[in-house]
Amino acid sequence: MKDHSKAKKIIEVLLFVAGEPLSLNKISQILEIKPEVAMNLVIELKKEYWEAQKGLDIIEIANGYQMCTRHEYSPWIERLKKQRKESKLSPSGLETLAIIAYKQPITRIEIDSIRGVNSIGIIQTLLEKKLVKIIGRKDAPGKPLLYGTTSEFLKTFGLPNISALPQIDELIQK
Amino acid sequence: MYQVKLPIFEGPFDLLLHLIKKEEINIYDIPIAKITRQYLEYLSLMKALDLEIASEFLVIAALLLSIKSRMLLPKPIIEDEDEVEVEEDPRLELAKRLIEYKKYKEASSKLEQRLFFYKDVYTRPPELEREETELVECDLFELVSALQKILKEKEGRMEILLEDTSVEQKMEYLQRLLAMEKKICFFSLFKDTEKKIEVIITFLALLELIRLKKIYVYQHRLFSEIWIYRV
Repeated sequence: MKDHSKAKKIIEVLLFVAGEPLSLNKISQILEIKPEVAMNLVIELKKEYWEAQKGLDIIEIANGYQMCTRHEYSPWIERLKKQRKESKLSPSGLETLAIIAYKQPITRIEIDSIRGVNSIGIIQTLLEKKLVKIIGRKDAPGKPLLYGTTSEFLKTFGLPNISALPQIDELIQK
Repeated sequence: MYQVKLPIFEGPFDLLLHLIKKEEINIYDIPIAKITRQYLEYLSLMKALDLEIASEFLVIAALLLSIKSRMLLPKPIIEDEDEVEVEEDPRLELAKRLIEYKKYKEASSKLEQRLFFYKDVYTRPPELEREETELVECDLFELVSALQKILKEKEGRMEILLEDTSVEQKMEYLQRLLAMEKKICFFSLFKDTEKKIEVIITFLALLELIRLKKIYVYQHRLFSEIWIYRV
């Protein structure tokens, strides 16, 4: 793929059609280019969108790239859809999710011990919302289940990957 | 009319942090008598308002009281200077747990900010069906919720009868079915089943086949139709 600007346009249409995060691997396979080249093209494309002040944006999310709307235009989208996107999570749900996100893989007992309260119902809700999943069993008495976050979690919170979470020890300093 | 506004605490640590913040005290140097008193006052307020007090609040109340009593005990007099073993502050363990908890509390408010921001970001639904190579493996949780859905749909219409089909027979049947077709839709397996026990036997047979790695269960994406493939 020699034609630089054409390659960028191909990536643009792929991102438009995909409707889900596209990994650099996937993009580079389709275009038959190296992932590093694909990354540079995506970054250039993203920059162009930014400089042109478009309503759309390209974000790095859930181990890939995705085309999305800029958040400041949500009121107009709501007028079109006649409803607001709901993102209901209770404070205890968020608290439990934060613990799982940072300490995964983690057992329920370990979560309970940090929170000082029983978290069984909350974990159930998080499982139903697909924000967390069972990722195995701990090699400890009773073989307790281990929980971790999902790619749905990354999508919901706009995270490129799990290491993009803010450093926990920096949080406490502020 | 008075309106009483009582903050709702997520748990005993949340309440303790609130008290510590209110009093502007150092987490490592908690005036334990004062905080214990305030903590217990809050619990009796909850009781007075007929709010249910979770047992976890009482556990920490007991911990506070035990720390308080340990602090009242006279320290042993140390004779030999070389053998000075610095006695651990009885409050240290609690302080550590509070700090640990505070970290995640902080992290959860950061997450909330992200949630608030990203809920206003829209993406379009996928234009193309995913290729089969991109199927996601279906976990047990997903399967059980699918089973629940089936049982719910059939509720009322189902009789519980003794069925002579065994799990083994059902497994054989499923494998024969898969020998003919490349994939079967999960829900289609239960379409003509009117007996609860048969639904459950079919489900158990599926689980057993998964365990034996005779079949794979996949989804195109979360919440979508579940497909059963032979290995």
